[in-house]
Amino acid sequence: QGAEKIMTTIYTIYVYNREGTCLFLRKYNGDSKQNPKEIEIEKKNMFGTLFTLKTFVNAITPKTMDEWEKEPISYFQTSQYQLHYLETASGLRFAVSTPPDAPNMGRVLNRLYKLYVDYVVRNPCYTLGSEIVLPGFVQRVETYVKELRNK
Amino acid sequence: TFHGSGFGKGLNASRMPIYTLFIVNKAGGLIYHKNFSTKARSINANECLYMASVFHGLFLNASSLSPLKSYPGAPPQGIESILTENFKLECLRTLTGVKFFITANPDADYLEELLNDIYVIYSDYVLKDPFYVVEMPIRLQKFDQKISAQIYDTSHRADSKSPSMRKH
Repeated sequence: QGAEKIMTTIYTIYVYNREGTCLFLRKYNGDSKQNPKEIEIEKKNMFGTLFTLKTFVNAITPKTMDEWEKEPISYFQTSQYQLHYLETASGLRFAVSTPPDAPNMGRVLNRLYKLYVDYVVRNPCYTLGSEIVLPGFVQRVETYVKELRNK
Repeated sequence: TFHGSGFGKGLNASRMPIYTLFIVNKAGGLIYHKNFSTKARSINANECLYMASVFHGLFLNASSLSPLKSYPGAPPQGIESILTENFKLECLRTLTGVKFFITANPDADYLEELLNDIYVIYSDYVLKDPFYVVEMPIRLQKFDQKISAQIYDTSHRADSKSPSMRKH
């Protein structure tokens, strides 16, 4: 598999655990001023949408999924953005919004998951289920987003 | 029931790449639903109604979560497509709020065009029917026939374009 460079702008990254707590939410498309209440609403809205999407897909899919099979949803798209999705076996959910013409983001999502495992889970100071403020993770994600934009 | 004879010898119901068509009215109520493939999940009528409304809600949610600001009074920029490993869903929202969405094989790339064709058939055979009440469930035989013909025609054309599909 050739390592082609992915180049894309990223709007927002969301990370949720299986209970629905938003562990991480960062916007990378300029500073649209949002007050904390709006951000809380957005966090809940996004989780609700992802959850409903999963229910809907499971009901309508032509093939019945067994519980241990990999989560099949890749992304959904509107005329304004694409929302790429990765759900791990432990119920961790990563969602990344990009412009509608983005390439396949599977590798990006996997990279984010790897960063999460290396710099969040393995950090002894981090309590699972709490909001991620660890500078190691936050910086590396920001660097990665910049890298994707400029390559 | 499927129109078997005369519609592409190689393309029977089990190889149809297009699975199901749903039409949802402005309020989110299901007004039409048809399976074209035996692969399509057979959902009972109630579940179908429920799922159509769920999609309607999802559609609006996706619109409100947009990272870009939309100007007030703009039509909701909701879900256009969903891609999963097992199917692809494509949705057309008309200016009047009616939503046509269709599930198909993940590598079907002709769905947008197909939905536009379906919209034309809807305008001709449903809206122009003097006995049809808008937003109500569609029970018109002529519409049924035209839709089936359109679906079979499109998937037959798609099938003949890619010879690899014949190997199934």
